[in-house]
Amino acid sequence: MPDSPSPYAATRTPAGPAAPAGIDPRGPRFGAAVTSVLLVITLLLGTGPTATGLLAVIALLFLLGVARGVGGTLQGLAYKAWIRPRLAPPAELEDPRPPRFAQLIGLIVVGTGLVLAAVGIPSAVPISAAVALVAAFLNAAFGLCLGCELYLLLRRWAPQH
Amino acid sequence: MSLPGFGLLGAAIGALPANLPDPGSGLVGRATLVVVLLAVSSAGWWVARRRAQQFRPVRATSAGEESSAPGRPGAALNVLTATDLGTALGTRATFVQFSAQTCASCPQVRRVLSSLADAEAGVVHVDLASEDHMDLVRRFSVFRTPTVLLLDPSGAVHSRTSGPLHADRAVAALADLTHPATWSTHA
Repeated sequence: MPDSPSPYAATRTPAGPAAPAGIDPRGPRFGAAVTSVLLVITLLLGTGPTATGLLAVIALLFLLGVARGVGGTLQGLAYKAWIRPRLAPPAELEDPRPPRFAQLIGLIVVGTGLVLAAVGIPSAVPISAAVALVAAFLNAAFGLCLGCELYLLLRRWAPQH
Repeated sequence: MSLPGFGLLGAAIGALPANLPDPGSGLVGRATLVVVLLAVSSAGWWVARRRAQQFRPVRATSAGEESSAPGRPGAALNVLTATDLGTALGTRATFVQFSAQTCASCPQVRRVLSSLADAEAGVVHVDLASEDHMDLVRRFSVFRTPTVLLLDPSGAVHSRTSGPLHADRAVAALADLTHPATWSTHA
């Protein structure tokens, strides 16, 4: 659509107070692609210490994303260093808060799998990896942020104040 | 109901535990499951996107309520007033957008609708932070952001959509509101 004349059209203030500076939306998608590959490898490994260890690494990547935003993950840094310089400037910038919230959802999903595996349910590793893979894959392939969609549902459940 | 695609995704995820923990299936079996999982996810996304793209007509709760509602909050469930919105309604149409902090496609929808409101006389675009309007979120069964309600001049909800929005769809919905004959929506 020719409805964004400026290459950096994100100057209009997003909803909510004091929206932070926009980020290149292709960064989180690249990160999700890397996460998808790692999750596929986890699923191919099945159950066992190797699969659990790899899922723990993925959990650490999500943790970085929650703590520092998607730009601060290893994938985000790799995107900035090696991918972004080879691409044209982004058509528009994105609010960094939705993908960061989605990183939290990813951490909860993968973390739950690790906890259940630790208490003796080994199949929790591939199941949580499969759930996380659906979200990461949809983000990488189609730009759909499944974790972001959960935000309003969670807010609806929260007590009214 | 508003989330047909997520129902499909849920079904895909729900179908997994029956097969996944089977260690005897080997690498080929697990690879097949990964491929099936990705294929079903893609199909679910495609169906959800197709359904969400269009503005769908919203039935009036009853014919009598529409005329009496404006100015009286809560008088009719599917009518929004200037008091609800905190701003005056458009004389032709009002697009009410529900946004949120964690909403990836809200800025895109905001650009489409605000440029449409700028271009068309009597059309107003209202962008609500869902966090501050949870009463409206519940009243209008908003389950995801962005959700857009299209109001007629009296504030009654005429049609609604959610997700990324193509400018052509917004223009078509506006044309249908102004000239209902062009689009048969007496559902």
